[in-house]
Amino acid sequence: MYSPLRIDPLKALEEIETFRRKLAAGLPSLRSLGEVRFGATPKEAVYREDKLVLYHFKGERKPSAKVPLLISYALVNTPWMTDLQADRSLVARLLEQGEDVYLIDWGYPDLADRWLTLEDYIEGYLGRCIDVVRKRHGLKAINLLGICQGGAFSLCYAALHPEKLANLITMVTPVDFHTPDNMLSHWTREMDVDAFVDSLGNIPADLMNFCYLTLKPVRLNQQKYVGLLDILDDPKEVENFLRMEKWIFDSPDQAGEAFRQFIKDFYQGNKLIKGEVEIGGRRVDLKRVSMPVLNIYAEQDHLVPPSAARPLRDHIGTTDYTELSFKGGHIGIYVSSRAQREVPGAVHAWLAARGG
Amino acid sequence: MAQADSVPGGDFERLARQSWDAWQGWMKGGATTGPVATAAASSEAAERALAGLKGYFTLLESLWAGAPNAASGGDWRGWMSGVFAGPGQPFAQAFADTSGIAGGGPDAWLAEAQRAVAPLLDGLRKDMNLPAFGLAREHQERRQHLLQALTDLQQRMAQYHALLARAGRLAAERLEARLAERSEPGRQVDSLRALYDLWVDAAEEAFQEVALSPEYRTAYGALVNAQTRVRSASQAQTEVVAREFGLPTRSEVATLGQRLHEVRRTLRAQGELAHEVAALRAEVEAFKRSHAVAPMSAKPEPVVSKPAAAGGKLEASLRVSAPAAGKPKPGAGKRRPARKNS
Repeated sequence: MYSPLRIDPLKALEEIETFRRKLAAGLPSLRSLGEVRFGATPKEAVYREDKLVLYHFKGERKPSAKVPLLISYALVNTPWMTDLQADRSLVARLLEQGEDVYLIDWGYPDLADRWLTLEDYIEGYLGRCIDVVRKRHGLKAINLLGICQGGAFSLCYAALHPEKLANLITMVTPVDFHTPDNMLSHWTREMDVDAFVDSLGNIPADLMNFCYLTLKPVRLNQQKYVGLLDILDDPKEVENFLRMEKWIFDSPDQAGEAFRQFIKDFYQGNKLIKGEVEIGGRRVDLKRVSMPVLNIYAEQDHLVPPSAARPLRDHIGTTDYTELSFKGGHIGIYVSSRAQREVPGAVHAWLAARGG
Repeated sequence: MAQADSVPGGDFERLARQSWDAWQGWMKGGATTGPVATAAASSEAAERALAGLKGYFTLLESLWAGAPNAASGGDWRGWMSGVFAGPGQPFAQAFADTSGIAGGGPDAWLAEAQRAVAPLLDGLRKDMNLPAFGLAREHQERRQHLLQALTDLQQRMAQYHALLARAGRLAAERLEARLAERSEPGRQVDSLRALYDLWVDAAEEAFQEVALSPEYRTAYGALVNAQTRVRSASQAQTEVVAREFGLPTRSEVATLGQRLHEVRRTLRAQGELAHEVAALRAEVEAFKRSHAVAPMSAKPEPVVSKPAAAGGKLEASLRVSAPAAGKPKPGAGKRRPARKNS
């Protein structure tokens, strides 16, 4: 029987020395980096309302798609994960495929937005953005791509206004919030959300981020930064790392009322699949989602497990349902090299096959 | 046992400290001079990196100080449980490292709340459950609620940390099992980094198991709710003081915001209704033009569907958006029978 540890003291010392060298070499490159930015693709603001901006992206060539595609991101982070940098951009790859892409930037809510409800977001902001795009293109219906919470919003909108959507794509979108491996849902189940929102007003972004970090506490608070040492001597990789850090922590507060309703109805009540969500007094019946639907989920998603996303097929009314499983996580689905290769092409091919 | 000071040609602990000091020095200097550090987000990222690396260094030091001699197959189980299940176990550290974030970690919240209200509470602890009387009874009761909430929060925090400690012990067990699988030549762990990565995998697996348990769900909910009660009670106290000084309070601002939001919604609804009415009018005009074979003797009224909840608003919109109609004609307001033009 041998010891499982065969750590040679000299080799361990060499590890430390290597580490020291990397640190010494990496510091100058850290100092030489400028401020990191995201949002790489040229774009034009075509509609503004309160803090929301609707952007229209400009590709290098004219779009070949007949129907524009509007991206609706989640409220909990900025939407620039879809256009982080030139070589990690879902938006850029969609443009290359010939899609005509719009994106909603929800903005950073402050206390003036504390009373915004889900109705304001879904029927109001999202609905008006859809109308703006429809009007710009003279179309009765457009394509909608909803991501994460933005996917849940898109499903609600699609159920309330099916006539305005030609095709619906949901990406890493939770539908069944009560699956056993959904840690976020598990943690919110016994929270007194009313008291929570009443005392906080808007929900601070730092508090949300704290919650996300504690989903994988050691990996996200420590191991990730140990891994940073491995790339300190590569300025490009360090810049990518910092860009991702900026995106993770540069996140908006959550409008209190919308947060209250989302946690109570979706996370705690699991009402979306029960057909009990109400938006502006109207019941959201997923059976009314009658347009073609492409549901993309990530196999290693720790925020929206596949088990939360896949039940969509059992609850919507469409007869044209397609599922795409991506080998990666909740973030990798936008920025990994595999995602760049697989996801935009799949989206474009699926839309093209449906006249989009 | 291999000790740091017995290593020929160097001293692990000294080198580790040097590296660590270099990193910290850069962090301090860079915060004011480096181009990266001038960007708030980059600085925040660096702070986080610092916190994460600090934990890593602490662990490396512990590993080095007590590592069993690999060649002799020493008591690796005893050493491992000492390092990985000790007071510096992963979760307490990971959670403590992030608790400095404003509004974030529970420890930070408790400390902040206690500091803020300590002067009010010092004289009250022994009378926490006494009923209050007289003119100041409401004030006393508010302070008692706050004290009760703080006491409750401490209990909930202890329960929560007990679960984190359980996850730490479970992580050590998982690591031991993973190491036991590597006892044969060729599969042994031969670097500190490999051991660290193995430990992280074990720790995350253990945490997931605990965090998805019913006890964790209850403890987490209870902790969040206890924090919320402390926050609410603190706010109530603060509002009393603010009112005494004639300062606007958070609840007053919230009320104003809520009313303003309702007004905006009403205005938007009216605007949308006016749009609909204008569109309907245009449709009716177009219909009239396309079907007009002879001058009409009477002008038909536009037919609009009146939403039940917005009847008053509809009439108001019609008045606002209607073209100048001159003086009301006798009988205006009475509904005429619909006419067919063809």
